[in-house]
Amino acid sequence: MKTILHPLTRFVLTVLGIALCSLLMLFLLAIYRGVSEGSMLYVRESGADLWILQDHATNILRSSSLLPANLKPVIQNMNGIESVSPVFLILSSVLTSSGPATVYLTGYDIKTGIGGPPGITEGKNITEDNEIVLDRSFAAKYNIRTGDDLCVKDDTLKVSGLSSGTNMFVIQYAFISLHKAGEIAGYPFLVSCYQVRLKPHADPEGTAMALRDEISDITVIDQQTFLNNNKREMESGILPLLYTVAFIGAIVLTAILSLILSMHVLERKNEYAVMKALGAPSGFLPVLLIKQAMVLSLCGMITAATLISPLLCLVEKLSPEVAGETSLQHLAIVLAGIGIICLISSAVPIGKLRKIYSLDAFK
Amino acid sequence: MHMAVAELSAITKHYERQGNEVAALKCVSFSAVPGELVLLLGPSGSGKTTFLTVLAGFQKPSSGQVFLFGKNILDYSPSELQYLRARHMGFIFQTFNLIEGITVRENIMLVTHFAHLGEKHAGRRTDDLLQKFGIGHLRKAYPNSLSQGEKQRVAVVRALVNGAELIIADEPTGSLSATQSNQIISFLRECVDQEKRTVIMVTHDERIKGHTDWTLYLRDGSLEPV
Repeated sequence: MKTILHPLTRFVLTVLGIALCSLLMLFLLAIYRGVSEGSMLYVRESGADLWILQDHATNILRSSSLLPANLKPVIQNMNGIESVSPVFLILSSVLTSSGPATVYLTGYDIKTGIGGPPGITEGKNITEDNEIVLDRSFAAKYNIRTGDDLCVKDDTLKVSGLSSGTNMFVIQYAFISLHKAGEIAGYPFLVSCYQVRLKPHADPEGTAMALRDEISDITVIDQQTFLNNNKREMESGILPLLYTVAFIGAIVLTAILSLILSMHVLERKNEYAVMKALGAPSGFLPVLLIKQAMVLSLCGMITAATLISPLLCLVEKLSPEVAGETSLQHLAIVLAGIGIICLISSAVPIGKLRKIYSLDAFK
Repeated sequence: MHMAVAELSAITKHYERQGNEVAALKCVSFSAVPGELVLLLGPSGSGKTTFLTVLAGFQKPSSGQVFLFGKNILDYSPSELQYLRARHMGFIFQTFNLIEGITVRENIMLVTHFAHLGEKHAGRRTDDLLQKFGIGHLRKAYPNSLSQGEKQRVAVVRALVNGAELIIADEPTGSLSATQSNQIISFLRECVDQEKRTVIMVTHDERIKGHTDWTLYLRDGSLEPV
């Protein structure tokens, strides 16, 4: 086993190469989790039991939904409904010091607070129509602080606070009053959806059915289905990209390991031949190679695990909207992946071992 | 009469070289019994190494039969042959063939590992042999820090550590000075006399002749007694 340490420079370089590939995989997983949290937290923390949207709309990330704003009393008066909160979601441009930037403007009822930001990390939630809460990574990226004024179309709004869990990687939520959202959109009589909370012991399915019967051209989705719909939309946008990069990383890692181990076998061809001549059992040398691959990978993995947190901090500092979160589960996933890669990359050098004969020890 | 430890019966070995068939061994017959040190002399290219590698089963003869410990080599399965080499045979190579990157003791213990000898017992035996050969202080040294003579003594210990009944040595003194060469041969002679082991040694170093029980001369693939 120790022979893998010689020469030490190559061992260190190999471990670094494996660490970089592992780091890439860990980073991608962290980004996925960050995006997933940012995209899902708003819906998850809404406290809604049912979501009412325009017919055929399934989510709030990638489908349009427009409903009349006057449906609230109709919904409120139905059996089993505790509260109804309209939300207006529009993509809007805001003027920052670096130029225009797009936010996912979310208008909600500031009296009930339902549909607002899931968490405030700095400042306070909006209480007036002329206030706005920005996502903290958006604020960091454009150097906006609480108390600053921000131009949104023809309006100037004061940044009252910064929110967390509202960064969707490609775009960030910003929260304003429902009234102001209608004004900015130019359609004060429209909303995007209604968040409905049910009374205790109310039947969600029965209430949803009653809502569909009462109001035409709407779709009523329970919280879990709505979460799943949004998750599916988010994943369909980002997962193919992450899978592709992760796949390329895995191939590069397999190639590096395979190449290094093959070189190791060729350089030590005579030593392997000697071991065969001295009576090494048939499985001894392949197992030795796999163990060496495992040691290299484990060292690379430990290096990557040590570096991932500082890397995420650095990336978040340089590019605040790229927020990642890593976990022990991610480490376990990458470790398992690396283990599989080890086995695959050992195949080529093991093939080379077969072509080394004990007779070569006498040459 | 002892059973032959190693026996070759009418062995012929041909090689293909540039489209022509070259005979490395021509109808060679040979046998060695326990407690014999057999020397095989011959000039370079006479087929000495082919003789040893066919005898140890590393390559198949073109015709004839090889017997190891009384059994036809073809009747051994690959794993039996591997275990036979690890447990009952010892090899000494001209260029020592020690594994770089592991210590002297680890080099020797590798063979005991292949032979499935208990680690404790094998460790004790290794240390005893290292002491006996005057290299006990080198047990933790790496091969690249050893002199030629020290390397060959380690190689001899490696060949002896498993208690091998048959030791095959290919030019064991080829890279050594006359003094070092005498030392190695004396060690092997002692093993043969005291432990009734069989040593088959090929060399072109005629100085060794005096230490052996009998000497054969291999010329153009044919054996001739000296």
